[in-house]
Amino acid sequence: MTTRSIKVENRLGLHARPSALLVKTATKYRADFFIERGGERVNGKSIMGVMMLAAEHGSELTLIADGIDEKYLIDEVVDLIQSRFNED
Amino acid sequence: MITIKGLVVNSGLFIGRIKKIKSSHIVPQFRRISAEDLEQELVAFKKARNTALMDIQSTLNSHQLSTEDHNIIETHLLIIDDPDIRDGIENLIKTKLICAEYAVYEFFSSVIRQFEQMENDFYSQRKADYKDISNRIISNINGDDPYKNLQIEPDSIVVVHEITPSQVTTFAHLGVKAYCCEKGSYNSHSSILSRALNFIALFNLPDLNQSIQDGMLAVLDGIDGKLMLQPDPETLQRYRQLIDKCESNNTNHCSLRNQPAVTRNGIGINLYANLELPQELESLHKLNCDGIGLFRSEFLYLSRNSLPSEDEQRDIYTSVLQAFAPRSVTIRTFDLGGDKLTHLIPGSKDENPYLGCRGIRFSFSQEKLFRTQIRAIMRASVSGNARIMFPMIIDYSDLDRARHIVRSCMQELESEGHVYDKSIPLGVMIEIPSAALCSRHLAEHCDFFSIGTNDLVQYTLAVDRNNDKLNNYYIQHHPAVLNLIQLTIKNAKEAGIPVSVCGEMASISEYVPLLIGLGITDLSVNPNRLLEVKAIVRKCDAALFDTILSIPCFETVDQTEKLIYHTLKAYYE
Repeated sequence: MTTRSIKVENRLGLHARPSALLVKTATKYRADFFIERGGERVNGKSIMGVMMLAAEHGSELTLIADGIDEKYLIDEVVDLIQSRFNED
Repeated sequence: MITIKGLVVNSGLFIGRIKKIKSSHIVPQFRRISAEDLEQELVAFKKARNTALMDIQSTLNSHQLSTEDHNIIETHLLIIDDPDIRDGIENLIKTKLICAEYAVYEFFSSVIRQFEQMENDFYSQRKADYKDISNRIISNINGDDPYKNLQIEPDSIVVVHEITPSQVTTFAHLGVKAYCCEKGSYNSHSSILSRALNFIALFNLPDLNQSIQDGMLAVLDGIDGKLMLQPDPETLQRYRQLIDKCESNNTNHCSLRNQPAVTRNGIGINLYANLELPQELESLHKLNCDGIGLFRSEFLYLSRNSLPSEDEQRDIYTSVLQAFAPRSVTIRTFDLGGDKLTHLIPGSKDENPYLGCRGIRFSFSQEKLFRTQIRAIMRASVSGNARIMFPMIIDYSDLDRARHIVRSCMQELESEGHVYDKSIPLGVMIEIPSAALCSRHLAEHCDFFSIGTNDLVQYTLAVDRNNDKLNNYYIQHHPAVLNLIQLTIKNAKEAGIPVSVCGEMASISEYVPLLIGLGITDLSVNPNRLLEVKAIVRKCDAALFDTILSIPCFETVDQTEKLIYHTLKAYYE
């Protein structure tokens, strides 16, 4: 299992487009993937789950991946969030 | 006063009050299922999801969308494909033993509630996506209509974002007279249906919803193509006078009702009506037409949960045949693709439905369905003067195959002791260029032709008539189309069979003199256009025929436009 903490940096947070990008990225990998925010845990491969986090700018997230390619999954998702989803 | 320009779908003037219709969340019927039905419900859900995925994928592929629209639609794909949503709904079906459509509703209702509770408005607005997907899947399962329980005042100008043919029919049931749609194109099915049902309608008014409120007074000018919101008193007065004048003009046309449709040089023209729904029958009685030139049978299959039985179909055909006897009623066999029937018959969507398994091809692929329809028509045929017409025929081999099936149905009926019209005329719809080009041979083997101009134009010019961006390419008077029509008429006359035009062209004033001049003696038109067309027929004269006879060949659009909009103008103006 690989775990990583990260802060949402883009101005509008995980709204529809970033959520879609995040889910599309995670779905490429076989590992299970979850995101936690303030004790709430959602399936990171579910657009509904990710959007329901309503993770605004500055939210602290914990990314949890479990499976054969978990490291690569986490790396790519972290890159995506750190690049601010190419938005700002 | 604010004026917004739009695209005229069907002309007319209307003064009324705005009524916005949002697509609300469809609430399906709650139904418990037994454990044996479980598998069937899960399959129904899976199929509905797949259909929704394919529909959205094809929207993505076939439309050039702005990046923003593309992203929204792509989000919809992800929602349908969402594993948590899929598992959640399947669990509801399994654990609560409830029908698929209600499980979808219940699941999404709870999702929507959670979105509504979000503090950040930017996020909570996304509930619209979930509502949309829920409606899509529910409609795919049971063909339900979101507008079913809507109440509308007769003076409403209904405003919608987008409209499907089934919604147009619902509007007719609700008594709507005028409506505006933010999107849409002139040649779409919704638009054709709106003309058939005589709506006053404007399409293509982007962002209209943002500038209006319910109850706002408005003038819909379906002649100039504009919607005037909160009109000033002078404008209102002017339009009231115009509406009065139009009504008195209509009364003048009404005096034509009992006059024959004969040209000045004595050629009698048969004017038939196109019939979309049996509900229109009543209004057709007043028109005094020569029969039904095109009875579309598709309504029998749409918006319902089961296939129509032979008896049910026979009753409907019988009622139409009786209403018009001894005048003829031409029934066109099922003319859609299987993609429109996935709620009744399992099947998948064609990559390219217009060039795919539709019309007679679909009937051949579902022979049982086809035989049920043929048997129903045959059994009804003793109640009047029925004719059967096959759509999407390519050439003689299609016709031959269809005739074989009809004959075999006849033998069946014979052995079962049913009575039927043994010499029922069998005709071919000329709507694919190959059929027009092979019309000499076809004419020798069938009893009549009917030219379906909408598809003939579409297939000759390779233009999708539903594509907003190609409106300028959809030229009904294109020389290639006119040459095919001319060839078809020539071959029909040589074989001694009647040929009619039943497409949109027959209902458009500008084209009527041209078609008459080309030698057409049978026109099947939208009921609301019949008297107007008759008035034009009665102006046609020997000079018109001479003019058209003197044209050896149609060669350019300029030439045909000059002919129609200049030389022949006096006949329709």
